[in-house]
Amino acid sequence: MSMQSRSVPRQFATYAVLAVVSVLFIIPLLWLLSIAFKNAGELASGALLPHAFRWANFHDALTVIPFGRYALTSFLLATVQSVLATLSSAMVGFGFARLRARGKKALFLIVVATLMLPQIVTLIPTYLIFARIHLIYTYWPWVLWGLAGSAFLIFLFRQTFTSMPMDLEDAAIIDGCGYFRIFATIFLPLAKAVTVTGFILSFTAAWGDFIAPSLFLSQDRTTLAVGLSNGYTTPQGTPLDNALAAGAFIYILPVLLLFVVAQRAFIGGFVTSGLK
Amino acid sequence: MTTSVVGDAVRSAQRPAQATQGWKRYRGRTFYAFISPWLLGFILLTLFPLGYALWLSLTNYDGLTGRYHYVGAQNYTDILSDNDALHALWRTGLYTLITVPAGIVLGLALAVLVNRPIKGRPLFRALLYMPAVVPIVGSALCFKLLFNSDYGMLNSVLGWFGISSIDWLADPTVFWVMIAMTLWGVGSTMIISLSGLQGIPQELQEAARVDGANGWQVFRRITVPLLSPIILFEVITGVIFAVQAFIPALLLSVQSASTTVTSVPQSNYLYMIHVYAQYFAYGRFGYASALLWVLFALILILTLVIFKASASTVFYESGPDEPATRRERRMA
Amino acid sequence: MAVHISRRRFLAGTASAAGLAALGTGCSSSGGKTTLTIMGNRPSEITDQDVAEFEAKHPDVKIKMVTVSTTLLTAMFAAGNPPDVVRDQGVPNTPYLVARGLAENLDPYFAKSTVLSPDKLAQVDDTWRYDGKEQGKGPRYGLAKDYSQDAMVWCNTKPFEKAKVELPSAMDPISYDEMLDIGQRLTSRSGAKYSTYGVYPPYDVSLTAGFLNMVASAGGSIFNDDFSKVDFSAPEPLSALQWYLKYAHAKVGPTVARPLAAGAWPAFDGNQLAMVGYGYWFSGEIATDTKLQGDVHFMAAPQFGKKRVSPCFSATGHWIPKASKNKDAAWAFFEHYFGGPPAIRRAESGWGLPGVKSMEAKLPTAKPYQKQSVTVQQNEFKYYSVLKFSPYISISAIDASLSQELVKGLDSGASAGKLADAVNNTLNPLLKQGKELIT
Repeated sequence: MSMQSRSVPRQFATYAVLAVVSVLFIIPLLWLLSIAFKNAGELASGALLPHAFRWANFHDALTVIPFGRYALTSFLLATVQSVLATLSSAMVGFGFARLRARGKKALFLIVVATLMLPQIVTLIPTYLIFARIHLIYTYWPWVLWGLAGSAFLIFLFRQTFTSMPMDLEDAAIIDGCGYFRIFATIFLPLAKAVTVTGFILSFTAAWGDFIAPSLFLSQDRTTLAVGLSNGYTTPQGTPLDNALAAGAFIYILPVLLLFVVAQRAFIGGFVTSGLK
Repeated sequence: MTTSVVGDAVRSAQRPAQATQGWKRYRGRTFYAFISPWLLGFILLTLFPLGYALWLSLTNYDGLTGRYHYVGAQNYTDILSDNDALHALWRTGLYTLITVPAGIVLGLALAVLVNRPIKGRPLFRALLYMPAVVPIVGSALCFKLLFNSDYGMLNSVLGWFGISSIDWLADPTVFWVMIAMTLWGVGSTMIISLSGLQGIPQELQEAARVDGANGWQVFRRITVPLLSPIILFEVITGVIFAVQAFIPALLLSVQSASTTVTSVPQSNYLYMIHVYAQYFAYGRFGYASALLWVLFALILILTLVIFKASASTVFYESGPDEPATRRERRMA
Repeated sequence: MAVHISRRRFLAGTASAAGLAALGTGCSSSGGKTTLTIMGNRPSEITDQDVAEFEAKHPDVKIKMVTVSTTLLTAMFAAGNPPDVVRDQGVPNTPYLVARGLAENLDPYFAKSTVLSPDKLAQVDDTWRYDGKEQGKGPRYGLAKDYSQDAMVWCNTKPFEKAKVELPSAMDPISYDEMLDIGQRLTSRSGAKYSTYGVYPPYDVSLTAGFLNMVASAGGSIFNDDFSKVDFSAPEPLSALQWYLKYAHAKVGPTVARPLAAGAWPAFDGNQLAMVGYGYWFSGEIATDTKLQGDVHFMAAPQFGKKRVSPCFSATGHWIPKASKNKDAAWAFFEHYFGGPPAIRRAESGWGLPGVKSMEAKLPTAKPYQKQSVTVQQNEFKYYSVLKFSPYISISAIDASLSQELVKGLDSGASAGKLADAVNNTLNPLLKQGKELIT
């Protein structure tokens, strides 16, 4: 890395472009935050910034709708689904990377093919089927989706496990370890970056999902994603957009924090998985 | 190839020939045990719903009554004369044609910039990637508030110049708001391209520079070809993502208690909006299922076409199918 | 051609997934008690007090509420486990529900009941009757919790004063064109930003019913005689569509393409909406803001044509599914909710007119605005009329098609004739299919 070799104008141009784009990218979030701190009058006037931080909006955000219950539901579903999906995908990925059996190639082709399958195509029929077997308005679909793993994560894990050297398990096999022990004690710990990536990806996806909870859950047991879009009004129906903005900000915050905390591992996970 | 031969050699050295047969069987069973969660899930949560939708698509099932007739391919032929479906297909196509290339180019450009050794690089990476993790409900709200006709930021700013309020969230501008909102999440393509850029050996590019290539030439002749598998991946996932989009259109449109999903502005009337309306507003479960199957078939065809078209242009370093050598492992 | 396949065989297709069902069942037992599942709005329509009183009176019954949603209802029916009481609007849905054999005939219950004997019921409850051909005749399938003549109009006098526009007469109806003209004088906007909306005609409660009302006043109908076809190209529906486009282009109020996200109340309450097409029920909303109460004016339903009509758009109430396993408990809830203290409380609140005649005396008249609105309402009763709906198509399909074509028309500037054709082309195949399915 030779920072000096870069010419000054080029450096400057890089900074300028990045700065402009970054500002553009951050504006929507700043505007949200600004509205979250305004009072109703400032909102209506379209003022750019609030005169004083109106923290009461955040209080409203948490109390006008059953925010805590929605958030708990979101957290529960996202955690269950992503933990299950990560572990199960790791297992399946390991199978595809390290074991041999008849039909493996064809099955892996199917995994890759389901990567291409738009989820929406199966979601509504799944809803109709689940309706018939009493699974809607329960949390079971999230458990099932988690257990089934995700084609994308299976692919990531498979790539990662494939790139590990063969002598890793050879030694273990000589020691008489079963494959499950080999997977759990040797391979999984080595795939930490991908595991974190997979977990974050599926957690953020589940936390942000709007379609599934709006179809599969009733209004009173739903997640924050759906709960937010209804209910921020006074009892008479006047919209409380300041509270809505505050609520949305609190809703976004966990995934932003998760991303910031795990950023390094996250980006690293993509790199080591050799996504190509 | 080489390592697995070595591995097998190790194994056969440890075991008499007879045991190898049992070993193979054990390994085969273990394979199926390992992949069983996915396999079961695939059968029950993908194959079965798909088959169910196919079956529905051959009937005129209307949801509430539970009665229906078998109508053969009628639902499929009806699509051809359904102007709304064709309109929706066209809007979806346009949305895909704009967001996918724009997203890839923008993502790659940003990836190149945040790959340069400059100060504050992690900060830029984080700022640019951040919108990609904002859930759809959050980003839709952000854009609704930005473009709100009464108190949106854009109208406020335009107001300073004496321009009176514009209803951005109506036809035809709302389409561009949706595009902007989609591209706001370009960080996800940026990060994938970035991971690809970092996988390109520095020596290759430097060697080219020593040979007198300028930056653009290096980018064109070395970087892009080496990135082509990743770009292909982005094109395919991008197309699939765009073709099935409908939540952005739904969340961006101004809805009240008395409006239905069909009042989504016509420029944002995406294919899946039409499907959703057929299921839940019109109660045409059979017809809607046929629409879903058509979407599925279209995506399959598109994917195949993209693969075929890219066959000559995508450059693979090595077959990704076999375990890597020790050298590659060290590099990772 | 079309082969009829039994529902049972259809369901058999899903049997292989039944293994999954075992997972879902662990959570719905409640020890000996009857669980009465009500698809309704709590607490806005069925209050906590209503429920508590009922459960105290019937200690062996426990009420479980589920969200009002057609998709959920569809799902529960598909699963063979419908709610015991379902909220719905009698006007647009009775023929549809009855023709599909979904709703229980309640006549035997009415015959035995002292609280809800048929002679005590208001005229509006007839919208919940259907004899297989005509709505308003035959067995009763449900009851209205309350109702309004929904094409009437409320004015906020503040914008009228500001724009120096005279208030229309309370008793004598104005025409739709006069309403539009007044609306234009009241509207004040800059670009897309409205400081005052002139008028929101009676479409907000139901777009379809709003149209049917106009068409009925003009002496026409969107349906043919046996309700198996729609014809929006007939002169009366066509002129109603034309009027809608004229109204939308005048930019004097919310439209399907530019709705009021929060509904009409906040704008009306904030003096930003001068006239809104709501019925008597809105007095209950007005009761929540004492500041507003001096500034409201209730008036007769504007007339689109020569025939003076003033229909009820919804008759919101409840019905009992045929497949319910707790019909007696459901009826007990009916007697309590429609004929007991909850009904009296609703009448006293001004949230709509009671479904039981004797309770009309309970309508609030203490404040001037309440007195004015009840007086206007008493006069309007004379013009009460009934909208008729088809058993072959759901109102949500008509709503969906109408709003879709109107949005398209507003975008493209297409003529009303073209919109009418498009609506016909969408709805007639559905009607045909609906008819095939239920006969």
